[in-house]
Amino acid sequence: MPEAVDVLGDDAPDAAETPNPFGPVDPLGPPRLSEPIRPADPRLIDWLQWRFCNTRLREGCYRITYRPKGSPWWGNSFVGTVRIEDIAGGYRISGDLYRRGPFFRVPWQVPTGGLFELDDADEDRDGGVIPIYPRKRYNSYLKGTGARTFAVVRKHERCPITLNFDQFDYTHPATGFSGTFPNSATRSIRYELTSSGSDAYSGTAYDGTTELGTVSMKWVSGSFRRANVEMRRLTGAEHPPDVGSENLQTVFDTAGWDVTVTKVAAAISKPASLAGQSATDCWSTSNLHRLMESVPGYDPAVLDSQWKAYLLAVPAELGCSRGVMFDSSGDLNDIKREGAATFSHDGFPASHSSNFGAAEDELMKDHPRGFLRSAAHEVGHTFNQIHQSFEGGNDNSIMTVTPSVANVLAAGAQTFPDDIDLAFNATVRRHLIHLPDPAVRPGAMGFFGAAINAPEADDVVFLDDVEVTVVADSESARLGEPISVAWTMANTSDDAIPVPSRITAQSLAARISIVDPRGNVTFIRPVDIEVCSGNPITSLDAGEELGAEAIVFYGTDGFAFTEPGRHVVAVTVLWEVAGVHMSSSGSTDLWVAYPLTDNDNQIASLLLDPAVGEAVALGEPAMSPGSAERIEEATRIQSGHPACAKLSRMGLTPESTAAKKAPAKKRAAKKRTGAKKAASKSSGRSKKK
Amino acid sequence: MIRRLDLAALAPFVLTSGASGVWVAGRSRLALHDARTGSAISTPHGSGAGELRGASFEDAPVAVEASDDRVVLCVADGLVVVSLRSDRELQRLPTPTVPDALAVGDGRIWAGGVGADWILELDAAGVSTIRRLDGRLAGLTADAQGLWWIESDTDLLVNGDRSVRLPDPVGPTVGLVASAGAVWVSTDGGLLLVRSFAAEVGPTVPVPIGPVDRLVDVSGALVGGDSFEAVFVMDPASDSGPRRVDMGRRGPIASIAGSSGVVWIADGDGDTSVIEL
Repeated sequence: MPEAVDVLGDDAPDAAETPNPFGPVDPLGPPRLSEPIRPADPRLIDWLQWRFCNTRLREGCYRITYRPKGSPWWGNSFVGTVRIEDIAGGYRISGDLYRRGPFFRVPWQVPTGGLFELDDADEDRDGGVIPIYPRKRYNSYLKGTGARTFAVVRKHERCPITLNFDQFDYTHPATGFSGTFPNSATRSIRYELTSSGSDAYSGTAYDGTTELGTVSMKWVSGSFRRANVEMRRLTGAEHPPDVGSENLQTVFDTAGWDVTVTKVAAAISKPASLAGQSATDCWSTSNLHRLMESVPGYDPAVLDSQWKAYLLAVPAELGCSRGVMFDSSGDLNDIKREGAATFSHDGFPASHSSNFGAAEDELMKDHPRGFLRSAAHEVGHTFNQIHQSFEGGNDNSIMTVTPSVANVLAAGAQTFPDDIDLAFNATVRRHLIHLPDPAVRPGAMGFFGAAINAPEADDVVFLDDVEVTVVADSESARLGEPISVAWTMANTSDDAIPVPSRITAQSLAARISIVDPRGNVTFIRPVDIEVCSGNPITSLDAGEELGAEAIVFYGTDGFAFTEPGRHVVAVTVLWEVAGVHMSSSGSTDLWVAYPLTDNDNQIASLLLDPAVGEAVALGEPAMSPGSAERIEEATRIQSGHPACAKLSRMGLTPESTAAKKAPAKKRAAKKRTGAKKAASKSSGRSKKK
Repeated sequence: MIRRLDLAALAPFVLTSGASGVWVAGRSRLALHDARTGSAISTPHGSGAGELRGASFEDAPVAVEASDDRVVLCVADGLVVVSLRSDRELQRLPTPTVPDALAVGDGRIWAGGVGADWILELDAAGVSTIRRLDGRLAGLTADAQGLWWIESDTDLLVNGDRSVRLPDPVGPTVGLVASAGAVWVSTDGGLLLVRSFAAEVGPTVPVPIGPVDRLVDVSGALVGGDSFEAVFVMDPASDSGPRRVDMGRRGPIASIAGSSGVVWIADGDGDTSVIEL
């Protein structure tokens, strides 16, 4: 079963289009030290015609339409959904396509607005609702493998994005709906899109260089999927209750699902076919299926227009395992996972766990939190979720079996059932959001049982084992003071990890951003970008780390610190391996002090000037006319001011500049300083201690 | 709930799970029984009682129902394929050594000799081929991904051109079954889960009894045990972990089979325990 992996890369702020140093296109080329940029430089004017794009994809469910190349408007096309989950360091993306059409409509059915509006109208029919399509029309699963939301474009151009998918075609069975996916992708495709409205994108689909067709997608909901649960109770049974503000709906909220729960108060009776089944005995799964079939209004055909599951409350006695998703072994109609049962008069026998505490040997109906948990667990099975002992291990989450939850709580000195967490864990949340539709929607693929079986070899997991640590040379700064920032990227895993050879800011592998006290983000894009030199992927062994440093003061997007208050200096390392974007980031806080004296104000005014900024960035006052005078004047006002002292250490004050011109043997004794020098020596590899 | 059935009239016999019941093969006869009631029932295509000419269950008590209405039995000199449509012996295939491991899937039948170096594949058209192994067969099973087998010399779980290295060495025989989307290997620490689709090793799930040589899938639940003292049941669709079922008897288990949520556990001489899951 394929499942989306984390799409790694764009760890971007929330701004829709923010300046961004990461991008392969630099229209000016690298500024050279011998040719510093001047305000009047025509290349700078040209530069101003370009802008950076960082498109922030809105989290949630998108409706997608894909029309193969050459297919006429009435011909075959595909509709479906794409789910974009915002995760640390990037996105996790998946989608599902269903066949649609062809349209055969007689002329009088064509709307008056024109032929092509027929299609548009059809696409908009779903409005802001997550669409649901018939099972038999299911075509393929799209497993997101990459996303590129950064680009440099001319000012008048729309911001492009690229989404990469592995497509897994679904094989339908001869009868029923429980088909199969192949082990490996059917093909890899790429959507090249531009914005076509608010949270809407359209463009072209490719397989390599082959154009496949047109594609459009539009955001429809902040939820990823929607479903209905109908709760019914047999005479003598009790429904699982709400617990304060928590209920079945809020449990599924934790997985990003919009679940509508219908709790029917009136009890149902056993049908005649179940005369031999005592209501309070343990039930066979096939008898539970028969009970579901007797529910008024039961119609499995509804599963083509709803993702619907039944939850039947039955008064089975203590020792019946609290509940069961019966529509696997008890399936009577070859329609899988239609419903589950919860046993209100079963409970928490000591034979299942010695950690049930006050609930030991008592009934679920008398312990609402435990009852709701167990009921949600069984509904989770109807959406094909499996026990966590088969995945990451038992924990205090919904898909761990109840006795194991009690054991986990006891191990953590917590109490059953009061400390039950009524939420899905991250593993199950991911499955619920990103497994293919047939895997989760009721009435499609059979119950997985013990293994989700998703190919996850290129998952984000190894990125969790990359740790970026950022350190500034001071915890506080004055306005106008350059700050030296160093960062390391360490491999904390047990295996080698592919990483870029250099993680310097100049190589564009590292991106430095400053968040000011008001939340504004400034990227410190280095002036001396290494565009032409390659940065090949290398192997970072377990325990090894790469390092780099930079002076954070001024970049092509302005000054780093222009106001007092708390700032966050973040370094994001971005790279790409085999088409998959990866990132890891770290940050440190920096306090910029309020100016308290006239000297503070005057020095800040003198140094927060682009000329000085360029001089600091280039490490050479002579390269930036006017900068030397400003620095000299600041030094004259108060040479011991922290900002001036820092410039002196960097060799940018008149005295330190003169010292530079002294004989080499004298300079050799000086501490190495300066932005350029720091950067040039800044990338190295070492074994982590 | 545990019941007992007396099938001594067929002893010695073997059990195998069928789509609509439990097959009992013994005394040169083959009969389909309702899993829940224990009564013999008619087969979809015949009387439900086939004559197995020359078949003996003394040496290799293994049988399996193929998905295409064939029942396959291991006998001393090879395999016997019985047609359910005609209640007749359909095919008899000699094997290099006594076969004692069987699996079916996608219309194909596989047989092997535990400790031997061969696996016989019989396709849906009745054509058989022998695959020679590098090591000695420790066990085999099949699921939607095809045949899986373990060679005790290499500790590899093999599935076509895919293989999974087992984290711990296995002995000359090993409990192995495909169930609930996974391939399960019985180990000292519990049941090692191998994700079938991805061919990757998952966690080892502790179970109350083990390691065991007899592991079977019954309606999606996993049942295992070697002794009549107790077996374990693990139903991945319930809100319960693996549980021990005490049977109050002694002696080794000869075969386990099941259908419709009912497990049959036999000693091979007629005394059969039935557990409703």
